[in-house]
Amino acid sequence: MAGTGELAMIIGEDNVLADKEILQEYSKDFSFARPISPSRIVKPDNTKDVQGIVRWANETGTPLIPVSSGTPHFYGDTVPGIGGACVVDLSTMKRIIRIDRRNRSVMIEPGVTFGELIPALEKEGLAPLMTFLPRASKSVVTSFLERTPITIPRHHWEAQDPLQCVEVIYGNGELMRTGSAAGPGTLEEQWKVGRAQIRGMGPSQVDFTRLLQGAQGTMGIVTWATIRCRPLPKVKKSYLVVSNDIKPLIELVYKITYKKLGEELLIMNKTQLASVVGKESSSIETLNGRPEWILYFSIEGDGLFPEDKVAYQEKESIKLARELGLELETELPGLRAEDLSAVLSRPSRAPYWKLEPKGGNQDIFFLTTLDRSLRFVDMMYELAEKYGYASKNIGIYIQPTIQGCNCHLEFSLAYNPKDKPGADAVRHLVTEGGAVLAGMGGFFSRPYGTWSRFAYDRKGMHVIGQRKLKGIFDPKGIMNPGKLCF
Amino acid sequence: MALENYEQDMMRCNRCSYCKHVPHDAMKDARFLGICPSIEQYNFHSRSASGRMITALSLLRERIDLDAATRDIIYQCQMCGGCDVSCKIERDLEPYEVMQELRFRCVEKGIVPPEYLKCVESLKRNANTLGKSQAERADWADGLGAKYLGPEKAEVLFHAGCQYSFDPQLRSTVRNGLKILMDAGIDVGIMGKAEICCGGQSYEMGFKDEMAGCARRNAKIWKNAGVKTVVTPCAGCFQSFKVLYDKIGEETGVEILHITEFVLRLIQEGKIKPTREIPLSVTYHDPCHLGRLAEPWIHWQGEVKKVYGQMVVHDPPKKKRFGVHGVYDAPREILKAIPGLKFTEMHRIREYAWCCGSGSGVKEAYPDFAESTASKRIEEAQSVGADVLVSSCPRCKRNFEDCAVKTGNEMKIYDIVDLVQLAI
Amino acid sequence: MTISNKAYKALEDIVGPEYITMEPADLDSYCFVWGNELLYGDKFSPRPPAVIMPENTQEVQAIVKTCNRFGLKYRAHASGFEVAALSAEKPFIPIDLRRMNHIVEIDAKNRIAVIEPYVSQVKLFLETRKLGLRPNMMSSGPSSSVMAGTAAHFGSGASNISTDYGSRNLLGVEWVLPDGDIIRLGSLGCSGEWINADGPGPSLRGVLRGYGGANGGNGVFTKIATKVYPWYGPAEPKLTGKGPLYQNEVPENFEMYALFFPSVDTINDFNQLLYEASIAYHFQRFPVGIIPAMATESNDEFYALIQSIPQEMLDAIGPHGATVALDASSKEEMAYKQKVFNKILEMTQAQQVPMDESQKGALFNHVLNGGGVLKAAFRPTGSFMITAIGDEAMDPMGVLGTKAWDTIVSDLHDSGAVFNASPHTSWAITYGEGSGHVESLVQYDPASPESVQKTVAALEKADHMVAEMGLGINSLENALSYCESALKAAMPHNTLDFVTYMKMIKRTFDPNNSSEPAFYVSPDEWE
Repeated sequence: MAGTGELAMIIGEDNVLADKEILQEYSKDFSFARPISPSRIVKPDNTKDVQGIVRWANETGTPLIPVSSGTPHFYGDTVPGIGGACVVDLSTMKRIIRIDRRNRSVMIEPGVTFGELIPALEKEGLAPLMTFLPRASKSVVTSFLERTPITIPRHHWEAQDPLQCVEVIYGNGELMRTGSAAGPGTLEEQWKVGRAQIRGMGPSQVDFTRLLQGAQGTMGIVTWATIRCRPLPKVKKSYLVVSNDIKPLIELVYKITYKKLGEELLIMNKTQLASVVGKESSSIETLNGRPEWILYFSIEGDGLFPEDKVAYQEKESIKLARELGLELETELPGLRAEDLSAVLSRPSRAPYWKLEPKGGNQDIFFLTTLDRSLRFVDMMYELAEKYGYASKNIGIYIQPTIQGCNCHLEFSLAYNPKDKPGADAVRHLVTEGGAVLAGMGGFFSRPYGTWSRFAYDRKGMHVIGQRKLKGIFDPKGIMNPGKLCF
Repeated sequence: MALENYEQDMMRCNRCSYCKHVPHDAMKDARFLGICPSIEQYNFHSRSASGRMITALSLLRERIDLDAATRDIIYQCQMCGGCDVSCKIERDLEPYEVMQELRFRCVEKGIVPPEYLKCVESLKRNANTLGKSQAERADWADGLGAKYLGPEKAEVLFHAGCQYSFDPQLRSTVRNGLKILMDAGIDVGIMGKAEICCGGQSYEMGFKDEMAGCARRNAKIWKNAGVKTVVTPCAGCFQSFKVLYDKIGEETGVEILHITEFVLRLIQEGKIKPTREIPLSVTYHDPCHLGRLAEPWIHWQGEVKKVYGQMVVHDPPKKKRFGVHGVYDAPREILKAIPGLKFTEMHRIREYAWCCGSGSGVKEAYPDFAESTASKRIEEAQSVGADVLVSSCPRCKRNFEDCAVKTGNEMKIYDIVDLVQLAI
Repeated sequence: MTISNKAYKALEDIVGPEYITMEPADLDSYCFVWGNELLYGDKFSPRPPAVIMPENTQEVQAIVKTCNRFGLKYRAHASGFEVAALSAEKPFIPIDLRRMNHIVEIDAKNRIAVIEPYVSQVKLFLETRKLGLRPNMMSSGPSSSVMAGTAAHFGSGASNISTDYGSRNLLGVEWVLPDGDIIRLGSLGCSGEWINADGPGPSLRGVLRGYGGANGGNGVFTKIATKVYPWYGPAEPKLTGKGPLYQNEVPENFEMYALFFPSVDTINDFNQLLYEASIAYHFQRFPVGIIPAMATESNDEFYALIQSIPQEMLDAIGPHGATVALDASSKEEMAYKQKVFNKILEMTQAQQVPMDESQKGALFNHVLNGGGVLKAAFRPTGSFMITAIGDEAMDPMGVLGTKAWDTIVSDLHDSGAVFNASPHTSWAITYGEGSGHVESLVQYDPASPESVQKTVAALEKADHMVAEMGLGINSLENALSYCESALKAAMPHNTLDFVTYMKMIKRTFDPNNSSEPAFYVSPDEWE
């Protein structure tokens, strides 16, 4: 095939794959994106390789699809939008380049997963800021490039977190380092004077890191990123708070975040919880009625007097909960909080917990605020009924973000891919249902697949602005064409 | 000091805009943060103390002409002194003095609002700024049985002031003021037709020589009358006698009191007993000339020098005037002594009070500005639940009343003297 | 730049004759601000041809479109307190946003406030504290515009340890683009709600500003949403003192400290430990002389106070000082915080500076709303400027202050051309996300040509020093840049690419170069 030889010169023959079976694996995912086969897969090893690939793609007009996580994929962003594309699989770039305990940061390549990162950080007295039970093959860098929320809202100051700086090869083939990594000096020179590439804003008066986040690989390929971590906890206590009615749990989240208590904080419904722990929901006895809700909360002590911290925060949290008629439990019949904590502190069981109930899954997620989430939950049940999806199968996950100012609201829809009516129901929910939820005010800030049709403002100003950026960073439009508004 | 002497102050203005606001640490309500009526009315930065410091520098550098537009920038200001208080909290600058010098310069160059020329003309001809006949000056006291000093003697002189002398709608207040003293057995008299203007407003307008003339004449009048104490119900006169005369070096040799200070004394000595209940919900407006502008003048002679490289200090040290030592407590004590009154403070009080709007000739030359300033104060009074806005200055009362009538506002305007008279 | 009668009339038709002026005396107040003498050799930068004052977004848009139509340059400002707001080498039309001073809404539940440009941080605090909330407080002082600190300029302040850097609090923007189109960023444009400014997809918030704001060089922001934070103090201020040293009652659940440390290493350690403990409400590194400055009425009083302190005590205190405030929502929380704090003090050999009630009160006012900064920074000599600036990991920022002193500032102190009572006058703070910011300050007299001249020389040295030592890119980062070629000379090659991209962004989003870029980036190619 034309170009293979040139690519082989850049990254070595073994790293250019064109086997049909392999190509087929990359041509589709669990989303409803139309399968389109790439022309080849390339596996770079380092920044120079990536830059060589991108330059070659510019010369040959070849679309590039960056992929950093292993399978399964769900959002359609890694499925080629047009034919003849070359998938740039960065999952083998697995270097943990530098761990900086003093500045609570780690510099990693895109192929590093949470499973690989956690023990490395632990050795240095750090822990990552986890997303919600990511799959084992999920790239840490991609998680935060795509603004996946973390489970500790107190550490989530704003949407960019915990991503700091990145090194990127833009679609035009040029290398850039963002934030304080831009310079002056090489990385080694910066380290020598104590700089740690921890300030993602900038450099100067454009936020180059932010322009890459949420971009689904349409602007360039990130070759490393610094990610903010947290000190490794010395003491941790976890709690469950159950309620038949979600309202008091939401109130509790507001109160907890107002008093800046604790660390992990999220709400699930029973269906979601059961999937998370890998049990049938009936084995977890909770209150009667539907839907049952569970708030998961943890308090960690890491530095000085960790037990004191846990003690006073526990006391305060219990008081807050009781004011709302709730109780902090360390154990429910069928589930201990610390077991749930252990599950959420690691990546998912392979291949992915969301596939365990029925073999397939699609998520609908967007940003809103905690107090607005109820109406979306109600609408989701209406939509499920409309499209013939069994509401008891809807998994719901509410993640407070930006220290409680926003929340990420996620509906997980398990389905059997071999069951066409079931799959169709999910497809309608994801597409038409998503549009309804957007129309109600759900902010689809990460518009995967068909969501890009309704996520953008009607006046098109975001589209205009993003296309201007695209024209700067990827003038030939080779980066993941067909995604977002490109 | 001439305008040129303040050039360094002008250059050290950093345009922080604090002069537009109440001192930040004293801010209480987000609706009432401004202290400068001029910038609130006209909005452009030139209408702030900082803006006028910059204007002064521009004039010195001959970047601009002293024309009608520049004149309006300078004169669309009540010279209330609020900016000076706010600036001095944080800086060692003299914005008020710069603005005063600008006015002197305007007068020197003959560029003043035409209305002011009428005031000064009247002052020269009839010893008042209101265009009234000197012969009518004492009409307000008819029938009171007051002592007329000159032919008679008294320890205390009651100086009515131009506004009280000639404004028929304020007559009851000034008569109440004198009556209170007389009924309390105070040996008090008035100058009658021989009373002349304090000259204070003219000074603020920039006519310093005219004010100096008034000062000389008043000092002589008082000396000849043999009085030991001059008490006045007019805040403007009080400030002129107490502060401006001292500033220009005119020693009067008498004790100067505002009527609120005198009345409080009488209450404390038991000579006045406010016993009648006055069931009103009131708030108190601090007149600029009784409050921050009435802080005693601080004379200083010495050298400005630099220490620690570039830090600007005075040798000997110079106390700054922050407006804190004006007359604030006396009116408040009086109000507290009147039974039945429900007294609530406004948000901007004491040295950081909002101006009534009429000062320094603004009511004469820019009446809309005076009215709009007053309306903001009335709004503030309403915001604290008051039905009555009490002041202790005739120009404040006049301007508030005019504004209330014009805007149809039901806020009642009282002078503190009227309340005392009702209560005793 | 001149303005034709036709253009002036077109602008006047938008706002009315009362809100536009060509009067020279008005105009001069818009080309005069501290720092001008350093950049332009004169108190006045070039006089604008007119100044205009819109009331709302529609008027702003119309003004911007008119300027584009007539080839006029404009730049918006709120308080106009810095050269970055008001000054340029060439004239432009200042858009004074004073009339846009409303707090549009406060969503207390979700802790989001929506405001117009002229809303000051003290005004916002007065309203939010009634709801148990507070905004980020920049150390530029209480009258600073919240929007400047969040969207348009820079947002560092001593509250950042608990409220993060200003721009990281931005949750929504209504933005009149340089060509006059309006974009409502993020959720505002998509769902109509002020929730989140990032997305959909890649965030145009990254075009709006970077670490530094565009300083008016990228259109006009007419409303923003900002995150606000828990406030555990009283709903209303309780003024206890009398002027001029007003005091606000210190609530029971606040504690304040003034500290000094034996070395830069110990204060660096303190910084890290304090940050990781997540206990502080306020933190800044500054020679503790700041407190007497804020607690005195005048330079004369300040001078007398300094003179009264024995030199041995001043030497013992040294240059490595800090102020810290703790807050707590309960007694138990404060007990925990104090236990941790005391341990940190012990571990880092910190000493406490005893404060009398007046000094505690002054510090508390400063903690609350950034007040007192003028007393400390401007009052001594008339003005101040930042020489070296750094923004990154806390430790090198601690070192940058020392290096700036050693290589630039100490000579300036010795020459007597600046205020030299306190060595190592650098100020540093820590952001919520864990990085730090430092400014090395000199206080000069704008009325003294020698003081000005020597300060200018120090600024130029600082640009080179910071880049050569690899500690950052100095003033270009924070948009005090006024001379691109000098900065180009100061920076090694591999940091130039971002400037090229910035220029491309500027050209793309502002094709007519209408939004005056003196403190942003010019669209012209690098020389």
